[in-house]
Amino acid sequence: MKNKIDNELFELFSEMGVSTPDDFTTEKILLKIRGVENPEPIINPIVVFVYLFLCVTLPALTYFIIKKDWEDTIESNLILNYINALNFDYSSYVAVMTICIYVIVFQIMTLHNSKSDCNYS
Amino acid sequence: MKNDDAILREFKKGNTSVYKELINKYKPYVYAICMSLIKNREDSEEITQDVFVKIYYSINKFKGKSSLKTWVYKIAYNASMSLLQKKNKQFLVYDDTHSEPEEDESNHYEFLFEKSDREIKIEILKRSMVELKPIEALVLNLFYLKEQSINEICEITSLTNSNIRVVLHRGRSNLLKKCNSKLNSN
Repeated sequence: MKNKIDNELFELFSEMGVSTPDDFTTEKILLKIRGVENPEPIINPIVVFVYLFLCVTLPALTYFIIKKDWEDTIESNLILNYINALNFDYSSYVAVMTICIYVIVFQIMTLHNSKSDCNYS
Repeated sequence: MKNDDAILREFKKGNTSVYKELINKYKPYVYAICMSLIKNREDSEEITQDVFVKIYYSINKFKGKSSLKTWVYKIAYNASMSLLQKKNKQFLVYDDTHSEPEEDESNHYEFLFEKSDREIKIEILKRSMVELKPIEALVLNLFYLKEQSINEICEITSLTNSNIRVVLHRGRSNLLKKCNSKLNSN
């Protein structure tokens, strides 16, 4: 009797078969293996900070340092004098620009890193 | 399709392109093991991928003490168990202290020998398998679907021979019981 039951179950299970994984599983596995073998360089956030400091913050600081001399120049220049007359706040302008550049670079960096992560998963 | 020995030989010679054949050969079975234990499609898919990445990097360490198939299944079993442990899921591997009283299996033979539509029976079997305890579903899958011997199942799960026999008996009883009640309610 036991053999009869086992035979019936063997038959039913073989007819049932197995549920197959995603059609692209093989490609995903091979991509993961290639990803591990040739990892894409991930941008180091420290390097980005140094880069930003050198390219953005340092010139901005320099600008504020020489600003006093520059204000003398404004008086002898017609266009600058006109802008100055509008009471345009240069320091806020530079501050906003600095923040914008920081945000843009960080967005790019985050996108790049998340793209690299996709290659591993 | 090449046999396991040929795939292993070529892979060890440095022809890594044969690995695709190994994946295609075993991925449904690895996935079935993961599904029996994890019972979640996305996680099983992820673990199946990780298992094959792991095999790729450790296949050179395979010494051939067991068959390649058993070795692959063992890695799939361990990976699924690790995920369950990570998720802090209570996973009853085998606990003899809380065993239910043995039930007479013959009460549930009706499902097997009933002359009803084969497709309906298969559908009932599938649904009942999902409802089984993970270890029971796994052992039944390994025994009846992949036709692994009791000793091979012991090697995959690290359970003793008598434990596997008990789980197999209990799993079969529970499966037939569930199938029977579904068949009668249809």
